[in-house]
Amino acid sequence: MKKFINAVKHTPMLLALIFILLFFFPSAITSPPESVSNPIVTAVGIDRNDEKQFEVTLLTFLSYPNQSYAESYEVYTCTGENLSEALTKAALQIGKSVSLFHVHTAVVSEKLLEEDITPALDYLVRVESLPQSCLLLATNVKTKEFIEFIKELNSQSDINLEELSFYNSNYISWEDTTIDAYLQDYYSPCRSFMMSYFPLVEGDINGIPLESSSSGGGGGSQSGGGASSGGEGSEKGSAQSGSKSASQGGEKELVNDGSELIIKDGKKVSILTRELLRGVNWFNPKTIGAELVLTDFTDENFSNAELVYRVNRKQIITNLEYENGVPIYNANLKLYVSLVEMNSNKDDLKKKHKDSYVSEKVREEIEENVKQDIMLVLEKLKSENVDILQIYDSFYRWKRNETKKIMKNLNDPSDFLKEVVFRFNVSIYPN
Amino acid sequence: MDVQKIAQNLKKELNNSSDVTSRILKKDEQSVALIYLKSMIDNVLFVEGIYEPIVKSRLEINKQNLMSMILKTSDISEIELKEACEKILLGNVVLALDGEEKLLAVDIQKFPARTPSEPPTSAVIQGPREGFTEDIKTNITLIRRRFYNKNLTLKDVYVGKYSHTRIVLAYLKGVAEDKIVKEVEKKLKKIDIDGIIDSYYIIKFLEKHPDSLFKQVGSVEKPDIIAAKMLEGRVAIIVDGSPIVLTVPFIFFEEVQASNDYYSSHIYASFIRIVRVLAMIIAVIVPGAYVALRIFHQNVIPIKFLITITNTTKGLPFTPFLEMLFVDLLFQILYEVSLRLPSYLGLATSIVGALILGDTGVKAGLLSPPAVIIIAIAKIALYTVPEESYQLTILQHLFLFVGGSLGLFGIVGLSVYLVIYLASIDSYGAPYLAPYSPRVASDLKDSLITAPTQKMFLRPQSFKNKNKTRLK
Amino acid sequence: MKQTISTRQCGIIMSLLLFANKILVLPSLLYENSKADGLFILLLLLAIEFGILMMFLKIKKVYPLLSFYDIITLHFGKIVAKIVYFLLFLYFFFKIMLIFNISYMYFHVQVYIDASYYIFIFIFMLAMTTSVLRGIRPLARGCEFFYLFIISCLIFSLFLSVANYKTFPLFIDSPPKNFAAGVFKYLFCFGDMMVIFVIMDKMEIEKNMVKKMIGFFCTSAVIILILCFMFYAAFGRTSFLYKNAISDIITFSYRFIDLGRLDIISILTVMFLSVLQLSLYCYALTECFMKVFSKLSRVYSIAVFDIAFFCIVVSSVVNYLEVVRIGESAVNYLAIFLQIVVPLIIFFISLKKRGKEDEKIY
Repeated sequence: MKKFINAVKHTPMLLALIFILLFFFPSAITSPPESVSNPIVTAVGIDRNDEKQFEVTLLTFLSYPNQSYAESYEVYTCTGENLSEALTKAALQIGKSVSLFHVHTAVVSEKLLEEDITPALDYLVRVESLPQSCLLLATNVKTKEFIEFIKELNSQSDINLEELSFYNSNYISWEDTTIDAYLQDYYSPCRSFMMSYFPLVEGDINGIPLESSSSGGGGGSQSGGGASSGGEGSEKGSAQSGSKSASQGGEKELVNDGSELIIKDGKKVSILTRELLRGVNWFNPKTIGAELVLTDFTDENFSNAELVYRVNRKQIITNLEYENGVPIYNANLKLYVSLVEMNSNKDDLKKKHKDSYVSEKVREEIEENVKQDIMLVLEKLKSENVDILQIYDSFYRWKRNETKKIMKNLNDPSDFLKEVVFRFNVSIYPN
Repeated sequence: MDVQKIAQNLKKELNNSSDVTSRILKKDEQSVALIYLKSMIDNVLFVEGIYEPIVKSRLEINKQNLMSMILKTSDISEIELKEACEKILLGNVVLALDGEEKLLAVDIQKFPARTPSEPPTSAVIQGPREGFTEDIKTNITLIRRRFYNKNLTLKDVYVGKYSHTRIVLAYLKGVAEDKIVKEVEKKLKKIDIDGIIDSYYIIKFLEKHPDSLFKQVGSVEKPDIIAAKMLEGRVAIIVDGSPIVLTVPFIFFEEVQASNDYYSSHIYASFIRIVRVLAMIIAVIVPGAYVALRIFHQNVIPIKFLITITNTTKGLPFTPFLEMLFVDLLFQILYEVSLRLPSYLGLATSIVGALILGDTGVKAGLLSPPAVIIIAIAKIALYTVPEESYQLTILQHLFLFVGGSLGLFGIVGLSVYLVIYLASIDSYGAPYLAPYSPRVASDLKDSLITAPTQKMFLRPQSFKNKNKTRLK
Repeated sequence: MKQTISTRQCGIIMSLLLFANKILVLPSLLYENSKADGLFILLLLLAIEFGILMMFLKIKKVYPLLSFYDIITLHFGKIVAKIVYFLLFLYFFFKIMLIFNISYMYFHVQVYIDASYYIFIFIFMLAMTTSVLRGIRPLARGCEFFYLFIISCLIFSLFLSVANYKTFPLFIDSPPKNFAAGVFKYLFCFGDMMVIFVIMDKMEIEKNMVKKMIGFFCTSAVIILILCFMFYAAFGRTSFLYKNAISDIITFSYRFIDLGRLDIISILTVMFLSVLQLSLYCYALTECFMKVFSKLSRVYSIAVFDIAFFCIVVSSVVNYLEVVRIGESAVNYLAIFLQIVVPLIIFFISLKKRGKEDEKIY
């Protein structure tokens, strides 16, 4: 006993540690891995069903013993009066408590976007630990159908939703289409946001088809799809999907045409097609590689040609000012372009123009095109009363007093867009 | 006294052991008794240096002549009768002369000893390959030849009631702090033990915290390292019969420094030291962290990795902690077996270990590949610092237990606990975690990042030494 | 033998304590109170902290060997000193509860979803008790050992968050009333200087003391300010949603999804920080306890603390969150008195009596 007391005196904390370990040790031996009690959810869909209940769809990874590193997913859908109830039901269904730490994509349906989706997202981020960097996108069908489509797509090909939405977020969208970006815009004065839009459409030529389980093997149908594929591939894809839809009664294809949904106050306002989006993206430094097409182009070297220029680099300098109380948005665009494609007659092609061919006429036409693009989208935005470019915010930031003065006469910060005069100066340089 | 009687008495005193030999040589009425242990002497030298000269000598056999003219050996001393026994046991030939009270002892000790060879634990790619042997004389020679200087001081202490082991304190006078030398000497003299078989026997007597898991005395197998350490102001303790020489004061970071570092570019040395420290951290923490991640923090694991782990561990009969413990136990058994098994069976054990237990275990669904990989990484990493492998193994298990029971926060808590504990240890005035905690600015030049030799102006300042400047 | 610590170690202790409460929930709370102008509140409060540091350095110069307790005793008598130390004891206790609560909530949300609450209690108690029993020198050395790791992890976290830099935060956007209220409201997150007052007699005076201490202070202050700035720059108007600034700025970007949760770096850093901070506070608390009840040894004082802490945290009768809530409001008043009034008084006295006291001490 004396020895024991001495030992305690000499190393009290070590013994305390051993005591604590003994206390927790049984749980260490018996604890199963966390994956037994928590499923790995990689995508979540939020929707409303016909009874106006919330419908949550979870794309869940299920493990089965294998050494081939194959991934198998299962889709679970549950409904409830509110999201908590739906998730609780999902937990009951799977037999595991749902945690959303690994979700990388959240999908909402167009139907849900008829009402404010913010409370739902807010709940998921704050309470259910959905990563705020999770990508957010919308679809035209029920999210359940969409996620099931994605599940099949994942198992069949290398194209998956994650990469598609990453691509869009990086090269197409005006800004990151993440939940946080959404929330930031929601809490901004203009409350407008652009969300990636991935519709499932029957028999679309440019869509990504799903290989039916009966057709068996063959990568042709996968490579035939894709948003940016053209020429032969497209035809092949369309031929196949056409035959499929005929035989199986309308199979849907995933279309990524770069269109985006405009959301205001958490609700859908309208769709911005890729053509309209071009106008927005002229202000967007991260979207490079945009194509400029000059149709029916005639100058000293070409006649009635179609010239395609690619923007390799661009510089955007904006300057905000007030002139006699009118807000002026000056934008100076410098585009560095190269000629990539010429659809012209033989004689023109023979001349083999350098890819840095930029004549005065080309300059003029490109300038005109760009300005047209921008004006087109601005008209649209003004008519919809959505300030997705955060014009008001920029003015408020840099010219606060004058902006406040103007805002006295306006009801809503979104109306500010209508007051702004846009002036563009587009300069073209060969690259 | 009659030489015959002396020989008999000495033999009796040595319990008439079978290897005690006495020979009486008579010449011109003068008798000489040679008493020695035949197992401890050099027979050739005995015959050529002692026996023949005496027999063939034309001079009168007396003490003076023997010492100065007749005997052809180097180490002759005059001793009292009571010392004779001790000298015989140390491999001396004791000569007793008629009518002489004092005896002569001729040291021609010889026993089988290895020649200095490269020790397995501190091999170098380029640099001296000599290692210490079990013979203290050789070891002293190996150190002496690195200092042709009078300041190299050796002090003998004999410890062990039965073994009477010779322990030599070696230090550079004017460099090593006298206080430390005195303290070590005092501690050694205080040891009252039956025998010292190896230098590890005295380590615990030299440590300030003998209960601690962490060793507080350095152990070195190579003379070049000892020389370097002595130049830093450390004291070396050489024990007869052991190829391991001890050094004090000792700091933890010494284990990270390898002799090879000083024989290669300082940039490479810095890189490899960082690797060593990382390997130590990996060895200690990774198994525990892996179990902690699987039991508590699944959401931290990257999704791709998590999917692989989940797939490969599905359907295993063990919980993550038990699985890790099981793989670890397998490794420990294999390690122990490979150490003790004759080398010709080594191949068989590695086949059984690697192929049958590892591969088949995984295929049979008893073990998961990640667990095997984790243990493999951790165990390999242990041996980047072989001297610390024992301590690290214990820590590895401690962290495994804590990781499994308390998760990552437990691992962090234990790390803080350990560091605070280590920070409270000091070895002969050297803070154990120096030069990092407390920070000793000048010593940082020879720490994780090393400076070239021409920039190391000072000796280590983590502990006391007399002469601070090493380079002007 | 009296354990002493070097100036560097003292600076490190101060630098680590400066992070307490400030790198997790504070930026978000400040945003809630006065939008991005919260950064100015932070700046002002850090300036106050800096003022206290300067006073400390002056007092230390005047009384290099005396403890804070001795200085108060010298001028106001033992009773006042005991009262001040008792208040400090309470202050540290509430601080410990606050840090414990914030750290627990953070770990619980981020990494320990289903884990038992006792894990945290035991680990914190073990660390606190060990460090108090081992004394200030090993504790200070421990802090010194982890300092570089902690600082580099924090800086690394800030670098990672550069990828998320979005907009320049919008400053001067809140009414001044909010600003003044904010300064008072969040005073409880500051006042970490009091620990170095309590351990001032253990600090060795070295060359460049002032420079070193200011250097360590600035390192922490700059990191906190940059963190706050980056946080507002990354989250903008949604800053109020995110309560764990240092990890949220990293997880923010979807670009890191494939790498897993990089915020594990900040989680580990906060783990180390919280354990060290609680240990330091606990040491300061036992120091105060021993001064108030001068007959009790360190072992008894830590035992008393352990029991009290355990009872409050575990007991269902006293809800510890209630204690935390009381702490948040009570600490503000305590803080004004202890952090500002007491050092100011001592500072002025030490300025006046300098000449005479010098003779007395030596």
